[in-house]
Amino acid sequence: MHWDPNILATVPEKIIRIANPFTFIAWFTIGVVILVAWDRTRLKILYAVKSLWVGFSILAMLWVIISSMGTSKDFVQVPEKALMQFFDYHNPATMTAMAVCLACCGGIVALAVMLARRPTGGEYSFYAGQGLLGALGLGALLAGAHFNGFDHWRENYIRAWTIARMGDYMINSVLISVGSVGLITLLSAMATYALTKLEFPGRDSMLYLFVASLAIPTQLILVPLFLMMRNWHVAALNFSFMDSRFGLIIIYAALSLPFTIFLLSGFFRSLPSELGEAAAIDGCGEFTTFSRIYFPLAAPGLTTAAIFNFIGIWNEYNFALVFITNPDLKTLPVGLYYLVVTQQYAAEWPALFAGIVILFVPTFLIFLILQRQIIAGLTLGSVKG
Amino acid sequence: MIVRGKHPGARQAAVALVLLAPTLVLFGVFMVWPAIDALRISLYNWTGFSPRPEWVGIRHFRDMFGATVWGMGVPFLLALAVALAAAGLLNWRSGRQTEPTLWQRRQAKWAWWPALLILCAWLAWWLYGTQDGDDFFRWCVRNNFKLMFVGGLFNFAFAFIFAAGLSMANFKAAKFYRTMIFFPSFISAVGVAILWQRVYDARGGLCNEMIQGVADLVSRAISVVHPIHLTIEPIEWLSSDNMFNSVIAAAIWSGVGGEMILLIAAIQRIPPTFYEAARVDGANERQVFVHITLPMIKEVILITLTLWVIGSLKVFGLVQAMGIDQDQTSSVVSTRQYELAFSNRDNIYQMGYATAMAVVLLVLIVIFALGLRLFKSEEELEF
Repeated sequence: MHWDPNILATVPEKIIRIANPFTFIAWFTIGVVILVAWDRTRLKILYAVKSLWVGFSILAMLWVIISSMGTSKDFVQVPEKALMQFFDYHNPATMTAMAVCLACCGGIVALAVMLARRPTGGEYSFYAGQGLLGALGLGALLAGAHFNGFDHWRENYIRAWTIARMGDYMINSVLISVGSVGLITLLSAMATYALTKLEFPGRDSMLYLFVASLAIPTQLILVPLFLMMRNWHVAALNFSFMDSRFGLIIIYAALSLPFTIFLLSGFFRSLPSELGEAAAIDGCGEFTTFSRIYFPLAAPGLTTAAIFNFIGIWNEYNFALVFITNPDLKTLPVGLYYLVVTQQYAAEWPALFAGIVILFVPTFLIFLILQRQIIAGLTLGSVKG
Repeated sequence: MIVRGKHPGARQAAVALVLLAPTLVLFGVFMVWPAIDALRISLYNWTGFSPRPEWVGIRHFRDMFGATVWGMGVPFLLALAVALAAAGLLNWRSGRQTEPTLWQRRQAKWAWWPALLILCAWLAWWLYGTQDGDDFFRWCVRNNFKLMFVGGLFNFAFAFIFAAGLSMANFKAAKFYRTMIFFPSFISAVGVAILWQRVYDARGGLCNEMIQGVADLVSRAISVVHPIHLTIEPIEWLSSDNMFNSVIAAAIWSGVGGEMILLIAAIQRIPPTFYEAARVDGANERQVFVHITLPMIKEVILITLTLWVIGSLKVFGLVQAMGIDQDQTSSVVSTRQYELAFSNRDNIYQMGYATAMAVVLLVLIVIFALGLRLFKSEEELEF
């Protein structure tokens, strides 16, 4: 009796078809609906709608990740075959890999939870173990993909990173976002403290001005800013606002300040004024009161604002497109956009999808780890009238 | 505050000035000044590169709206002026009273409605009733409006359903669902565009594959009694006719999460004592939702709507990266403006006209934002 590597080839095709990833989402939804059929009637519909929505999102992301591991040929010509090939049920290696992966996929999430919750003692080792298992599972999935001919992922990512220059763009994006978020956080904390905790004439109208400027569309100031910045350059220092990271940092900071101040003003107002008065009795000046008392107290709100700003600036696209023409200084979204434009001439789908994954992973990790903080910051009265 | 020095107020003002100075400088130089400058540039014809901009006055706006609207606009403008004057007078009178009652303040606010309605009628007539002026610009504004109303409707309906469901106490795995619904708002517009391009792909895109999958299921069910295989004609999601609808769907997908989170945060902030009191009084679930939850989150609903209106009027990245099709049916104001000002397809940069478009955009945003403010309740709820 010889060993048949394709044990599953003997399984009737019907069963394999039912296990098709595309029909899987339908089964999943039906299953969930049946599960909650015991529960209240309204919940059923809610679960169904949400499951469909979430299932579609997951499938779309999965699609991107799988696309980034194959070759162009796989996806332009016979995409469905490619997906089936990726989840090749005939191949025992893939089956094993997928089983391991499914068993462990919670691990990555557990790792994120661990980082967010700061567990103690036994919990710590449990989460660490889960994280290790998650990493193993991802490795298993990659190995399974490798056996199925989806062994181009390394090559695709390297090509996106080097030839499509995603690595350089990422450095630019990191520098620009971190720089402007730092600037915004510091300046808006100072400004909001002054606007909410200090008394001076014209305070309320100034706050109102900031809120009103939220209505200014970015398109309105795009052209004037472009014409203005073009003329501002220091020849001696070889410095210009156009085509420079610093110029973009300043622009982003200026554009985000009104919204951040609006977001923080509610938060600062919820901090008790008695603390500042107590500090004043103890001999603190206004600056010390700010740096020693209100700045640390506002940390949760500031974190939320910083996260929102970071995501917004990391993904910003309009200004980076206009103000950066030097290919060395492009940010990730702009680089990706040009990859799309050139992609019309040379089919480079996998590198493109690798680019999306590279663009998306940092924000997703931040989101996963700091999700609690985001929600908490929103709940703590930051968004209010 | 404890009084120190001779002029504590002056001292606080000085400290505030120092703390505010960098913000004010950045805000003034990079936001207020360009916004004012935009109004000036919109009155010039300027390629941006020729040495002298040419003064054209309001010609850009006349070109945009067309002679017909300009002529017929006069009665509209007169009516608007009368309505605004009446509303202003009413509000002024109510403000002059030492302590206007809640009802009086509400009444005064309702006085703005005729002016708003006249403005909307004029807008609708220009967009859908006339043939004159810049047809292409009007098409772009219509697209923006389509995104705002159709997209907004779906967006808000989904966000509301999700938020209401996820804040139910007996909803299982709420955190997982919340995360998965929220994460699309964290993807860059370019990423969303590429992802959806792939999803919409006529050959082997996820949409068509899912439709075919459903057809397979149905045909398998029918095959029990009669052998049959249904094949669906692939739908061209990204053809000129369907392009903008597809963009709207993508915008909904990436927009729902953020709105849902804002609503959830608002719902969670409602003190549980309110619900307990209502339950003690014998209110059922629907009554609790209508009379407690809705009024309590009304403020946030209005903020969310305002954000959506502003966002949908200035949408750029998603449309630009999804690609403008050959017939340019999916252009919106911002992409048209970018094309005129910075993309040298015709080798003529029309900075002046492009800025005039942005000015119109600003006016639209202000109208809608102020219109939504009229719904704001006068009572201040403190909790």
